[in-house]
Amino acid sequence: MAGVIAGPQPSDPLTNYRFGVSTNPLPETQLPAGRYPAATTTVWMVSILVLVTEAVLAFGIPGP
Amino acid sequence: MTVTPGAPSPLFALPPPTAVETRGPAWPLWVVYVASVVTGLAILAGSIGGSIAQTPAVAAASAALFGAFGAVCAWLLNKIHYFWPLRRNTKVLAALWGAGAATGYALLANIAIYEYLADRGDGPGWSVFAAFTEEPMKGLGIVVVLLLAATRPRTALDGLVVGSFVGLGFEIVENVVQSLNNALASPPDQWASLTTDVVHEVLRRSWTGHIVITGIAGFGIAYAMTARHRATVQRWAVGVALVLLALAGHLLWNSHRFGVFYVLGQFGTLAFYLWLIRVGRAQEARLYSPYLGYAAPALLQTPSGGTRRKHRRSRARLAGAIGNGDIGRAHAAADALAKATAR
Repeated sequence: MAGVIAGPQPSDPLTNYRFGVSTNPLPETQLPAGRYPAATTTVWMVSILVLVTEAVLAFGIPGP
Repeated sequence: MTVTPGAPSPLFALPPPTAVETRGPAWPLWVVYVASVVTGLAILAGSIGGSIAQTPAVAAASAALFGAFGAVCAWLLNKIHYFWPLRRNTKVLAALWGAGAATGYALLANIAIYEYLADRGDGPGWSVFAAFTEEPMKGLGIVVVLLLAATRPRTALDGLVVGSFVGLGFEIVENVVQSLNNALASPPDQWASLTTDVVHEVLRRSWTGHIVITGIAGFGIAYAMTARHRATVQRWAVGVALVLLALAGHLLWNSHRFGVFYVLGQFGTLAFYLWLIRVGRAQEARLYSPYLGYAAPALLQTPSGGTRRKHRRSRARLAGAIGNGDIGRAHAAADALAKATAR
């Protein structure tokens, strides 16, 4: 599991990937887990947008 | 250090997890998602139920053939991610939005536009407006699915894949509906009509249509969400530009005009999509490669010969698994790397 072996330093050339040399420091933590953080506010914005759009589509365009 | 194939591979470490974040409830978005998909499917069923009843055998064959080809496309789309794939649930959510919500409501709007134009003697002109009804619904689906995803989007490539699956779901249903309409319009050659539509899908529509177009829009939306290292204006400018480009691609696709530029535009759209995949993979590499610093050097020795490509893929998977704290996937990738290195 975690912490079994100490990793090499980030300058180790073996850490370089095909797409380019990484000069970033060794990450201190995993990437954040879970849903997108902006969901709290965006949920309502998207909800309203979807409902309005669907209402417009449902009524169709006005006749001649 | 020796690496034994098949043995447990404690040749990497996992960094500690990030601090737990407080997040708002997701249920409002789930309500929007479920309501949109269910009502969209109901609209669809109401619209094509009569056609299915008239030609049940053709309808079943159409669903089976386009569904099978869609499975092949999904298999290919699953190859796009090198480092950290989208969860299967996210891809299913995306495809269902495309197949249900986007097609149902777009159909409703398209019929309204068709009837409006038909009253003026220009019914066929509706297809030029289809981009304005279909693209917004697919785009909303991308936003909703990316926000609902159990793991937040990491790079713009996540959006490209979500968009492609929304487009795939849309395309399968659209093909079935169109093939039914074509078959009903061409008795007694209904099977010939269906065969023509399937060949058309395989040879042209699949690589110029909704999958590619919506993938480009998805890349833009996810770029705006994830490229935090860029200025806000730049992030949103790229996002809006790609969504508009997808809209323009759809307009061109439906126009059937401009001669050779029409053909070049199709190839150009595909080439741009493939280039975006490359850009997205480079973004992933920048994000995940530093996590290889947690792996033992012996694990990362590049073999010579034919296993090199497989080794690169496994190394990418290891980096993604370490970065996301997935010990099982990291062990599987480490085992694959150990085997490749031992050869």
